[in-house]
Amino acid sequence: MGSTARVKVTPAGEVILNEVISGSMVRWARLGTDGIGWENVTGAENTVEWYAADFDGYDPPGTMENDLWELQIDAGAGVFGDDVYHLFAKKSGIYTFTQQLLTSDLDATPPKAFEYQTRLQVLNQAFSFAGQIGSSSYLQDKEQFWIDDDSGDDLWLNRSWTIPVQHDNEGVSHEMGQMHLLHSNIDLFWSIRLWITYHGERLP
Amino acid sequence: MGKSRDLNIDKNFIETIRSLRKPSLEPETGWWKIGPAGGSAEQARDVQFENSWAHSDEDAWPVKWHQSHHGEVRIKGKVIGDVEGTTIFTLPEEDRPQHEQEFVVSVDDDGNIDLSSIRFRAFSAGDLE
Repeated sequence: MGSTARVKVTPAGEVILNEVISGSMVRWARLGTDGIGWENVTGAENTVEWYAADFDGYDPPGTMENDLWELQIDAGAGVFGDDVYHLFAKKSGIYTFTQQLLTSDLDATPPKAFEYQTRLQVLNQAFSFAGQIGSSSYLQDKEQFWIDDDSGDDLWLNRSWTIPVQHDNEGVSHEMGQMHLLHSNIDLFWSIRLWITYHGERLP
Repeated sequence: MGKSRDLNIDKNFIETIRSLRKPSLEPETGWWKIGPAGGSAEQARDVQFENSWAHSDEDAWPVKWHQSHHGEVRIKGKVIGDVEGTTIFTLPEEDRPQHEQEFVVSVDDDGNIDLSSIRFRAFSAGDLE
């Protein structure tokens, strides 16, 4: 199977190969507070298997305040083979992203809401799949789609929604989103990015 | 399924919905190809590979960049040849982002790095976020 790489483009126009990463990876990454670039915060990007991730185990450390978090799920790319098939087989299904935040992480005054943004990207491949992106707690926010595209062009799905935070004495928790992916094409590279933007307005 | 006579278009309902939901792509015009490292200028906006980078296959996946009328810069093609931390090429001033941006790209079994997922809004086009 193939792998993934990180390439950056700088304000000086340099296109630089940052890193080549073998296999698949699941990681939390945090955009820098200045909004430039991001830093890995799990430290295990090369060892975590996609299917091992329940996401409950990937709570980002530290405070969420004033940070823009990105849950980045990247799978290996390449020609269809046993490894890829195995990985993709694990990807079919419903994935629920949850996030438990401790009150202390939020300075005892949790925000009223988080804003989510998903972008599903499928690159340069003929494919078809079905899915829905959105919060299962808020059915009206779900977006269901069925795509059958043999053009070989890139395709982007963008979706954003805001979910109020549910708060109790133990902290706040909420379901970040649910994604149901079915696919019939096996030679594709895809990545899902879920952006979570902290809403500055806090609970009284 | 028959074509829609009411709409007087040569598409059936499914095709119409697909065309509405599918993001439109910029026309494949105005692409500039990266030249060989150390090569001579062969085009108006000459950009050459740096270090030991090169086209993986200049015929099959030539590396090119393009800025749309809406200011979106896209790169496509595959590169090979050098190691992490090295500059592949440098875009012209009018095709650069305001801030550093990072992209996850695919690498095939032969080590060819596909730059086709790189796209951003050029700072010169008014990206002030």
